[in-house]
Amino acid sequence: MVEVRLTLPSQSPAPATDGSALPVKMVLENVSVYYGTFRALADVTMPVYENHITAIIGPSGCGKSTLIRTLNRMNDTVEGARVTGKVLLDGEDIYASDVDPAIVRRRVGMVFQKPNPFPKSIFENIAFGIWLYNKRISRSELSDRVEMALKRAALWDEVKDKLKELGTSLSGGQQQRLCIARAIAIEPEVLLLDEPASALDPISTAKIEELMLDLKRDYTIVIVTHNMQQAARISDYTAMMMMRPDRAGELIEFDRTETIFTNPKDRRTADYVSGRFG
Amino acid sequence: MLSSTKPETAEPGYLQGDSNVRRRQTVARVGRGVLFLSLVLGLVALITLFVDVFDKLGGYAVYSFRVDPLTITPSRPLEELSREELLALIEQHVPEEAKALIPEDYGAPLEELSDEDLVNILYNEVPSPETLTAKPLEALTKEELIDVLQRNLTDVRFQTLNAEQPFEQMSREALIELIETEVLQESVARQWTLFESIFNRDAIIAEIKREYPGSDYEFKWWLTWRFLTSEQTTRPETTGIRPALLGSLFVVTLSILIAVPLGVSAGIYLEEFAGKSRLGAIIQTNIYNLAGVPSIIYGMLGLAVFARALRDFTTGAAFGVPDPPPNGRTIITAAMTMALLILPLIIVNTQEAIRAVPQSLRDAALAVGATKWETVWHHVLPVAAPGILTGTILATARALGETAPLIVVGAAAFVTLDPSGIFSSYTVVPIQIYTWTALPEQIFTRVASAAVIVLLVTVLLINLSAIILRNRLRKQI
Amino acid sequence: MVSVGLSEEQRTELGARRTQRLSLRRRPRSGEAIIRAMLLGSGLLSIFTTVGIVVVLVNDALAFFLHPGVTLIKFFTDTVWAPEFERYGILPLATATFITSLIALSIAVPIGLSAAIFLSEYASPRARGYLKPILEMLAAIPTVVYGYFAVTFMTPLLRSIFGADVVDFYNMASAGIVMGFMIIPLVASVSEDALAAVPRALREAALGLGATQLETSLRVVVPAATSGIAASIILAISRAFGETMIVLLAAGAGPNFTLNPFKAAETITGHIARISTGDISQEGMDFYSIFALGLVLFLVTLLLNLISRWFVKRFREVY
Repeated sequence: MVEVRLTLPSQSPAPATDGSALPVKMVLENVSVYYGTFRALADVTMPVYENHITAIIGPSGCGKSTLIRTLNRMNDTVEGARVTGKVLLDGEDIYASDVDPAIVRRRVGMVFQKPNPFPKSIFENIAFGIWLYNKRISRSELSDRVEMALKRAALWDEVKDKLKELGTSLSGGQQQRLCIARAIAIEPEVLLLDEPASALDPISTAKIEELMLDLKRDYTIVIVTHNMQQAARISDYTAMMMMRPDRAGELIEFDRTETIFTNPKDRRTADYVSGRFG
Repeated sequence: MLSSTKPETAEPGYLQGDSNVRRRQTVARVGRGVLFLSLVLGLVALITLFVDVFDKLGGYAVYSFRVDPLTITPSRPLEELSREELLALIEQHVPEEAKALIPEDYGAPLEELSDEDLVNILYNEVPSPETLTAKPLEALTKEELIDVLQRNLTDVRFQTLNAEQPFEQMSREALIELIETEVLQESVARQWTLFESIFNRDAIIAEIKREYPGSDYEFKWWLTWRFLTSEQTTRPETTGIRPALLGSLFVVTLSILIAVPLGVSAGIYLEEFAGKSRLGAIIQTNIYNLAGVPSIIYGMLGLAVFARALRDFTTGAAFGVPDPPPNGRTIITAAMTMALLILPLIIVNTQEAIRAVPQSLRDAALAVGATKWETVWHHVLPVAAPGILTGTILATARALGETAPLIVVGAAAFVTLDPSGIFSSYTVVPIQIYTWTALPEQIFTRVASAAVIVLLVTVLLINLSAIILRNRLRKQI
Repeated sequence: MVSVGLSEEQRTELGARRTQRLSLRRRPRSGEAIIRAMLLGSGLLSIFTTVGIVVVLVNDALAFFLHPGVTLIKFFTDTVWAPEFERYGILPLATATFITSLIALSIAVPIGLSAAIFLSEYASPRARGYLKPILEMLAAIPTVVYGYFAVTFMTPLLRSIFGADVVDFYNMASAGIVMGFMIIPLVASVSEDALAAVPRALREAALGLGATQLETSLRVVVPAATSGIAASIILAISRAFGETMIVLLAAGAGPNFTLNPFKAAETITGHIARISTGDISQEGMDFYSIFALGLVLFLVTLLLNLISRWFVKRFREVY
C-alpha cells in the first residue's frame, strides 16, 4: 500500500487528516472532463482513503456522476469524452497511455444507479465476471466463488434455491444487491456506487447501507448520493460539489463527514447540507 | 380522434353549427372515406392478384393428341382383310364422289372387283390406309404396347424410362398412359379457367362434346406434385419446376451464408466500434446509397466481375472442375451477386437491432472488466440476435424473389438437369415464371401461375414468420 | 437483517488473491485486434462494392463511348436505338422509362399518401395492426409476379376497356399501373414516418381551434411533413426508374420512341435485361452499350437517392 503525503495547491481544499497519514488508495490530481468542447468537470483534486467510505454530494447537474466515472474510466464509453489530469491508483496513473481500461475496471468496480443485471440467470450474472479472467476455472470453484459473492452481498439466503432463474426476475432491491454481488465477485479493490439506492424503497435502501458499512472492511468505497442523510449516516469523508457559472462542476470542499455536516468551511456547503437549496 | 358527428336534431345554435360548420363536417366525413378508400384499393389490388392467379390454376381441359394413335399401332395389312371387311371399309371411308367414279376408274362396279382391286382402291382413295386397320391402343397386348414404345422412342429415352420403371412390371393401363404422354404427346387443346369451370360446368362440357368429339377431357390442376418434382420440358403438360426449385434453394442458401456473416460483422463494426469516425461515416453513407441502387445494376456488377473477370474461379476451372458452363454462369456467381444485393439490408438491420440494446447492459459488462469485444460477443449480440434473425429472414424472402440481377448474370432459361453443385448452371423459380409468362403459347401462363403460387406462398410465409417474430420481440420490450 | 460477512479464513484468502494484483499495463489481446480488423474488413466490403459498380460501369461504358460514331450528344438526343444500324440514341428507352414511371407515380403517390395519412392520423393502433399488413404484403410480392399479373390480367383488362385496337398487346400503361401498386408501400411507409414525426402539439393546436380532423391532417400535419413526403416521392421515382421485371414482361420488347402509353416500348432496364438474356458475347458493342445504359441509370438513381436523403435530413433537423 502506497502512502502519499499530499501537498496540494493552495486553492483546493486541504484534507483534514487525523495527524497520522491515512493510507490513500486513489488520488485525483487536477482532473477535468470535457465532452467535446463542453467542460463538465473542472480541476478536481482530492484523495480517496483506503478502506473508508467517501461520499460525493451536491445539487443535480454538478458533475457527481462524471466525477465518480473518472475513477474507473467509464467516461471512455461516451463518444467525444476527454479527461485531463491524473487519476492515481496506488500511485499509478490509470489514464496513462499504456494502461488497459478493462483492467482498471477490474480493480475499480462499479454499481449503477438503476440496477442493470444481465438478462441471464442469477448464477451467470455473477459467474461471468469471474470466468472472464479465469477461463479455466473449475465448475466447483466457480460455484464457491459465486456463493461467496452472494453471501457477501447479503443475497444468498434469498436466491440460493433459484440460481437458475433470470436475474431480471428479482425485485428492485434484490437486483441491486445482485449487481453489488456481481461487482465484488471479481474482487476489486475499490467499489464505486453511483446513487445505488435512489431507485429503491427505504427498506432496500437500509439493507444496502448496512451492506456498505460491512464491505468497508475489505474495500475502499466511493458513493455518489443526493441523499444527505445517507451520506451523513455511512460515510467517513465527504466531497461537496457545485456547478460553476460556466456549467462545469467543481469540488468546493472535502473533509471528514462530521466536519462537513456540523462545521463546514464553505458557506455554500453549509447552505446545501442544511437544506436551504438543493 | 375528434368526433365529427353532432346531433342534427337540435336547433342550430352556436355549437350545433351554422351551415359553414355543417359543410366542413360533411367534407371531413367524405375526406376520411376517401383516405380510407386508398387502403381499400390496396386490398382490392391484392385480392385481385390472388384471385387471378388462382383462376388460372386449374379448370376443364380438353386434350388432343399431336400424334394420331392409329398411326403407331400395329395394323393388319390391307391384303389380309376379308372381302366383307374391305367392302365395309370402302363403304365407310371412301368419299361419295370417289365411290361413284369407281365403275369408271376400275372397269367394274364395286361388288365385282377383285380383292386386289379393292385393296388398290383403298390405297388410292384414303389418305392413311394403315390407320383404317390399326388396332386402338386399348386393344393391344402388353408386348405389343412395349413394342410400340420401342419403335417410337429414341433408344436413349427408351432405356431411361425402362430404367426408371421396367415396362415388364407396368400394367397395361400404365403403359397406355405412358404411350399417350411420351409418344402421342397428348396436349391441351383448350383450357378453361377455374371459375368458368365451376360456374359454367354444363355449358363447357356441352361445348367440348360438340367441338371436340371423342376427345379426352378432365378437370386439370396445374399445380400438382408431379409439377413440383419433374424436370423442365418443352411441353406445358409435362414440364416441371424441380430444377428451378433446387436452383433457388442453392442460390439463396449460398447467398445467405455469404452475406450474413459479412453483413452482421459490418453492422457490429459500425455500431460498436466506428463511433463518429470519418471512416464510419463514409461506410454508413455508402451503405444507404447501395440500398437504393436498382437491383439490375448488381447484376451487371456480377456479370462483369464474377462471371467475366473471375470466370476461372467461379466456374471451377481453376479447381479443375470439368465442363464449366460458358460465360461463368454458375450458381456461385449468382450467389455472390445476390449476396452483394442483400448485404445492405442485413447491415442496416443489424445496426438497428444493436442500437436497440440499452447502454446500461454494455455499462454493466464493461464495469466488470470486459473489453469492448467481450461485451459485444457475450452480451450485446445475444440480446440483438432475434432482431438480426428477423432481418435475415426478410433478406431471404427478398433473395428468393429477385429476378433481374440473375437474368443479367446468366441464369439459364432452359435447364434440363438439376443443379449439381456450386459450379453448375442453374435456373431459379422467378426466372422460370418470367420465361413461361413470356412464351407465346397461351397455355404456358397456366404453368406460370402454378409457379407463381409456389413462389408467392413461400415468400409470404417467410415474411409472415419474420413479422410474427418481430411482433413477439416488440412485446418483450 | 444480518449481513453475512466472510470468515477470517475467507478474508485472508481474499487478501492473498488481491496481492497478486493485476498489473495495469496493457495485456496483449491479439485476438481482439484480429477480430476488430475482420469487422472493419466487412465494413470496407461495402465500399468495394460501390467502387466495383462505378469501375465496372465506367470501364465498359467508356469502351462504348469511345467507339467511333458514338458521341455523347447523339447518345442523348438520337431517337432511335438500333445497334445493328449503329444508332445509339437513348431517347426511346428514356422516354419509355419516364412514361411508365409517371403512370406508376400517378397511382402510387395519391394512394400511398392517402394510406399514410389515414394510418397516421385516423387509424387506432388496433386498426393499424391489421391495416398495415396489407401494405406489407404488397411490398413483399416479388416483382416478377407483378409482371405476370400485368401481362395476364391488366393488359387484357385495358384491352377490353379501351379496345384491342387502341391498346397493344405489350403496352406501357399496363406496366405502369401495376408498377404503381408495387410502389404504394414505399410511398406509404416513408410518408407515414414523416407524418409521425410531426409533434402532437401541432395537431392539438389545430383541433383545439375547432378544425375537423381532415382539415388538421391536410392543412397542418401534411404541410409540416412536406420534406419527408417529398423524400418519399423522390424515392418512389428512383424505384420506378430502376424497376425491371414488370416492364420487361409487359411493356414491350423493342425500343420505340412514342408518347402513347398504349403502345409497346422498351425501358432502359428492360433493354438491359433483354439483351442479357440473349447469347451475347462478353465483348463487342452490344455488351458495352448496356453498360453505358447502366451507368446512366446508376447515376440518375444515385442522384435521386441523395436528394431524397437530403430532404429527410431536413425534416429531421426541423424537429
